Amino acid sequence: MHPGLKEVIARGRVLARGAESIVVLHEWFGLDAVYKIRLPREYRHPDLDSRLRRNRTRREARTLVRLADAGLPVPTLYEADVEECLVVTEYVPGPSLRDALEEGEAGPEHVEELGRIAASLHGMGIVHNDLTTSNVIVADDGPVLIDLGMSFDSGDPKDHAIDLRVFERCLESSHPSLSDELWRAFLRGYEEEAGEKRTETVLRELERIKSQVRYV
Amino acid sequence: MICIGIESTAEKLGVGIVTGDGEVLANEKAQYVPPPGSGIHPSEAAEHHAREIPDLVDRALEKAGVEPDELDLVAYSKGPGLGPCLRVGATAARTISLALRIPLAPVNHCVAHVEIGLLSAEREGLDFGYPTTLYVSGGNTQVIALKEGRYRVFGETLDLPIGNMLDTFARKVGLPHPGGPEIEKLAREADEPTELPYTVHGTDVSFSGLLTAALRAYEEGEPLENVCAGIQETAFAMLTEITERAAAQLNSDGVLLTGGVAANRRLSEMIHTMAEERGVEAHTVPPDLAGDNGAMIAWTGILVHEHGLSIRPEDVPKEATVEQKYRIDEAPVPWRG
Repeated sequence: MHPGLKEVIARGRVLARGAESIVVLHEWFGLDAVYKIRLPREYRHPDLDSRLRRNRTRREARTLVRLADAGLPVPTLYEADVEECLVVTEYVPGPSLRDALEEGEAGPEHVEELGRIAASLHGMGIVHNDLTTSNVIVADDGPVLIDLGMSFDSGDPKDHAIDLRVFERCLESSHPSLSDELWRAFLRGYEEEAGEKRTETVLRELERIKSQVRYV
Repeated sequence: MICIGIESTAEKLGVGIVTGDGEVLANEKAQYVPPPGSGIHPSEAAEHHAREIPDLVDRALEKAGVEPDELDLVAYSKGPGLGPCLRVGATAARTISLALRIPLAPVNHCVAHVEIGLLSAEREGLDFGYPTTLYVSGGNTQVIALKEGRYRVFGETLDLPIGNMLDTFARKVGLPHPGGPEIEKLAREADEPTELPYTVHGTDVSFSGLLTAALRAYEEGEPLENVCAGIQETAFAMLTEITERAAAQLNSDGVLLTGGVAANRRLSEMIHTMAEERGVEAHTVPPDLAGDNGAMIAWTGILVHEHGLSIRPEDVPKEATVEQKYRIDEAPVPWRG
């Protein structure tokens, strides 16, 4: 690791330690910034580990730029370094949607807006691929999408349905008592943006995915 | 309190006897083995279970040194599972309940895997307050944790269960059933793991692309050892990653690895390494209790009974049912409330 990054980790404030990265709040040329560093993971075979970390860093930077260009709410990309597996972005203050829903600080209207954002993403041929309430920040002017490292390009409704599957189950497992209401809100927003026909197609694929899962 | 538990959700049949203190007195098993080259036929598995169960109950009682009239409770696997197999276990359990006039405890199979795992961790001196469980077997691949008083699925496979994927690969390349142990053995001889598709969607995984690519690599002449290592390195890293993602979201203080595939040493090593990096404890449930077994049903049956959820003998004929798609979040677990 670059010595500068070691210093960032040592001196900055660790915001999260997720499954694939450490996220640190630290300054970047005088601005508050979020450093997302994909550290090597010991459990994975080194070749696979390096391939994944580099691909995801590249993917995250690229998708952030494309979404920002399209006017979708994502943090501004400041810097990316594939060798160091580093992405530096604007710091967006605010709780995660997950925490905000639990604390009653966010509600169906935020989830509905997220549904619109997801439909826009799919309209651009991008799948988020980790669409959960943990990966959305509730900023002052609405939800902001983060953690785009697993995103991939696809215009196929089958792949779009994966985002819906991941999000629906996140509601069922993490927000069980609110899940029905929030799921309806999400679909409302999604359909508003994607239209009835595209939504129907994606929902049909969602049912197909769910019927494929075997429970024995 | 002495409970006898019957497990019969799929190809394995188990009868276990457990005390209220969590001591496993017996854990007898029998397995239906499908004819070479074919998968499990539910009705044939059920016939096997029906044939074996009287003997297995006798063996368990003998092993435990318990007389039938010393039993206080009988538990059975209510689901999820294969209908014909579940019904054999339920019928046997009903018969025991009515003959001995003892209550009957219906148990969710997946809850039982977690509960026996936690008991096993506790006996090793680990005290998990809020663990994330990776449950991997021939028929299930799930990341499970407690939320709002129920166990819930935080991640799972979108297509093939891991054990099924391993068995299918093994069958197609001519390795004996079950495939997991054979693949593990061969993988140790590899010089380099074959590169295979790594498919993670948030906290979900998908194995069908990996299976197709692994079979193709083998057909194209890649050494079987390398393909086996590729399957293990890729599939197990995917599972470890989704387990960690769920654990990170939940702020879990421990990781539990259970199910038949937990016996794989490489998977267990990855889970332990990941836990160590996160600074939490991990526990791999030993094979006797990790694979489908009767003791896990007996132990969970005791918890069910102690919390007033067992069925009185007089209500058994109408209330003791099975449910093929019994979801884990439909099972009340007041002892975790």
